[in-house]
Amino acid sequence: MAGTLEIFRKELADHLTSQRLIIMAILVYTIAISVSYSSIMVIWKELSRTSGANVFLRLFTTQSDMVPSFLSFIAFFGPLIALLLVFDSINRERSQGTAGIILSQPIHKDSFIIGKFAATSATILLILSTVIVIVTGIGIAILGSLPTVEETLRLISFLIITNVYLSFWIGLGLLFSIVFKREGTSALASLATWLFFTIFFYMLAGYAQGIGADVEVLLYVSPSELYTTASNVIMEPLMRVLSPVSYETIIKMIPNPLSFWDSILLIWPHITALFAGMIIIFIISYVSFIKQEIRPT
Amino acid sequence: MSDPKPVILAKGLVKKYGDFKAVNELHFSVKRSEVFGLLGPNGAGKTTLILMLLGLTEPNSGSCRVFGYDPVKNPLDVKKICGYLPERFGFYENLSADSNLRYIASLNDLHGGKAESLIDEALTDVGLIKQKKLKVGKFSRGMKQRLGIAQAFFKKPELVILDEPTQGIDPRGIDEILDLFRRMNREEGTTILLSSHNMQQVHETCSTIGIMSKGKLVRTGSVKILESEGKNWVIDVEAGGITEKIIDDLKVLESVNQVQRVENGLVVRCEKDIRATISDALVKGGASLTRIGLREHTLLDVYRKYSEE
Repeated sequence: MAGTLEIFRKELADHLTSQRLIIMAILVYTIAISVSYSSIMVIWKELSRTSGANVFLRLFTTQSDMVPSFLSFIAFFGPLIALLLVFDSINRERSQGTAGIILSQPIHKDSFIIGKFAATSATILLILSTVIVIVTGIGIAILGSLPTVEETLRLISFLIITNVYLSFWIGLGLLFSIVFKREGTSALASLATWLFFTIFFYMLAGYAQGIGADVEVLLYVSPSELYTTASNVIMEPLMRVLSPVSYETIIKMIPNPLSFWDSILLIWPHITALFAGMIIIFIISYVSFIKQEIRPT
Repeated sequence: MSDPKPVILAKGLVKKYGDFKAVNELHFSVKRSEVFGLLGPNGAGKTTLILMLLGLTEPNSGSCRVFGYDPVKNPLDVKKICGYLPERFGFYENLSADSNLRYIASLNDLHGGKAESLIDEALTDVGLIKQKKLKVGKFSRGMKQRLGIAQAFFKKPELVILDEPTQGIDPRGIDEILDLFRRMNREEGTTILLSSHNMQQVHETCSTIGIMSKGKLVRTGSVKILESEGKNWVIDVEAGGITEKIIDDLKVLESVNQVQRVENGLVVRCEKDIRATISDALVKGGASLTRIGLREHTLLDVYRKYSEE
């Protein structure tokens, strides 16, 4: 579509040179390296027991006493990073008056929002993939072995699922930046939504459980819950069931790891739901943007 | 150059915001290579009309054609051949002047050497070539306005729509900019639609003028015709010792519409030049006439006349 590529390029360049991203990248890299370092220390001690199976996955999932795992770090702070990148992307263009100029060029209005969404998603993908490569590299250097094909497949799937999850939050941030005219308001709305889904949602689920509601269903409304389950299964081949099982079943189970495709099959509904959520939230922001008049106010 | 087909043709345009009709049953046409001045008070619907012409907002009813294209169905075709300067606009402050233009050029599918030469030419025209590499964040209000004008003209469009183009520019800069408009119109045959509050600029630049009021185009015509229409003669009288009787005498004269007493004389509104009659009346009535003069008529009178209707 006319102009989408140019807008994508410009937005990507903007993201990659922005101070905001540099600060966040430093933060993410520092945390990833320190988290993987502490995981390596833990794995190091257990190497004999686990006989080194799936060590590269455990670099991302093991938590030590002090530091949470990389996976839980992404589930918790990833949305905040995604929101920070886009919470002001449309309303700032309006307030500084660039929207009027750009949209009067021969481009479709769609290109503007699609370009922005894709560029931010690509930025996140770039940060995530470099982080995963760096951590894997550290693992190779210290543990002295290469990741297996299955581990690589699992890591790539983890990357894709994470990117879909964070793209959901990008769509939400875009929506706030369209609906709210002021950057401050959209920042607050972003922060509030993030807090709700990462903290208050679980408190509510706790209350709901207290009055006997079906918490399992309720939890799956939250994208972070969907993501945590999906990424845990993909990163932990030993996870075989998601629903609550009776004690009798558990003791009869042989701790046999699932194959890559079986793990994917197990979390396919989660992946689909995450993807659908991302598409829906993007369509909502897309439509509200198209309906909005670009007249400067 | 004598293309009879109008460049812009609007029929019965209506745009509603809630119950308020910003543009109401508007008919309008602009000929090729014309400099059309759109005048009107704030809120008359000038910007709304412009947005509809560019396909940036959809009319509730009515239709318009720009170069034969329908802005509702083919906004891209319209925007390709139009340059537009919004009333309020901005540029990316973290980018330099030429990077901003290069980005806009790329959105118009202009790349490489062709884009560079167009950008340089436009920046030279508006007097910003020395500040080419300066970040727009460091620009003054007037410099940004110049860059905005460069942005509207650089792709050599066939039609340029300018919403209040000279605000924030110093008087000498305004002359340069108006010169640029005239040159573009003369040399490239660019059609220009200009919306402004500044009568003098419109008077100097535009060949045709349209006056908008309450969403309607109440009057269109060439500057000369409109000016002669506006002639509602005003005669200023400076005199001492004016009595009520003199005023009454003047009021009964056939061509006099209004006689108003001011600090040191009278203001007489009438339908023709009756200076001789007035001075006679004054002298007869025993007043001491010091000065009597006909007020110059400008576009402002026309504007006042029509925009208040």
